[in-house]
Amino acid sequence: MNENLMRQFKKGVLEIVILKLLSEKEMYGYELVDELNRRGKSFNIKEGTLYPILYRLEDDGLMETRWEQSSSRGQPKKYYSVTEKGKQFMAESYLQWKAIVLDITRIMGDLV
Amino acid sequence: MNAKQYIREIIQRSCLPKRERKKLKVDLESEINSALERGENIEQIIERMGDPDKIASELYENYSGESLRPFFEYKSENTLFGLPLVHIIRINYAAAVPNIRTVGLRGVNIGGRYNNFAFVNGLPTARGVFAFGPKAKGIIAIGNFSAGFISIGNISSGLISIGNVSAGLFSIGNFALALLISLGNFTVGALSAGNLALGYGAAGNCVFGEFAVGNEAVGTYTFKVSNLSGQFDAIKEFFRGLNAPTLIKEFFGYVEKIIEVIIDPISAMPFIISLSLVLAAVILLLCIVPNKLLKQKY
Repeated sequence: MNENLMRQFKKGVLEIVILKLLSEKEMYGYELVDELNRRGKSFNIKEGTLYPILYRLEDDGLMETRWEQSSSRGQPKKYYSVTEKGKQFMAESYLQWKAIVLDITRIMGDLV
Repeated sequence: MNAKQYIREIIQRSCLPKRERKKLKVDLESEINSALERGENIEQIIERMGDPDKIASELYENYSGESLRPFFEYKSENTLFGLPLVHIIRINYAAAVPNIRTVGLRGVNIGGRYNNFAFVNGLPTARGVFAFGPKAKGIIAIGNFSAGFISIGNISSGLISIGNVSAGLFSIGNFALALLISLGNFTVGALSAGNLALGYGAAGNCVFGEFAVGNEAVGTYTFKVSNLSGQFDAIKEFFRGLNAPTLIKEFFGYVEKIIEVIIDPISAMPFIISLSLVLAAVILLLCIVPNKLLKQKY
């Protein structure tokens, strides 16, 4: 698979996926990487991809962070969760994405 | 490599703006901690996360949308004391830097290139036995900001440091601060020689010290010079007669030699010429070799 093409594919979609996962439950960084790679085998998400997206989402006000002391001995963790604006953005973008997929499927339909 | 070095490596190489670096540091620390809590050891974590340079380049690309980070690098494979023999970092002015603010404030870098101060924060530090870079650390470090056993740079610190602002055991510079010997324009040191010199033993134009020799001298044992050549014998006499530690006497011995040169520059011509030739050769070498090494790679 062309790596560059794969990167281009992932670029826009990952934001929606991350927002979706976070809307199910708030998560910390390690958990999020784990969850993404478990549920999306083809994603192959690395730290270098995830964090810039998280920072962008946070800057746009689609996501917020919170610190929590999880266990008595552990270090405090930074939890990410979706804002209302983020949920709205996710729903809208997902509709757009579906429209794109629909069109592409229709065009590519007779292939394979 | 331990966790701290690993994180530092990623962050420095990512060339991200300061605010993002801070966040990134916290996030990476917390992620590695989480993994450690789950029973992975640091070697496994590094193995899983991958090469710091690769992560950093991904970070930069995903953050800025540019595939090329704004620096050239040469790092030799040979190592000495665990440091690469030569490590060179140089700004790549041709690379687009959309997210790093640049300011018009400019400083001169060794090698005659211009360097952007605001930019220096964004680039990785060169670390090596010979380190060249906007920021350099090493046995011999040359750069805008440099630290090492021998460091040369705009702002430098080290055992022997030479620079615009320099601090160390021996330092030479416009502003020189040294535990032992400082030479320069404004100097502070145990033994200090300069335009404005402050030290236990001091020589120069305006000098302050326990033992002070100069045009304007303030101190316990002072010699005010008004006519250097006329008073040379008296100065020598003053040095001989001083009841001072041997180190001070030695220092003044060298001061005497310098005075000799000042009084009769022609006699010292061979020395001055050879010194300047050596310096010219060293500086040429410092300009040519890093360029050659960088060119090899790109």
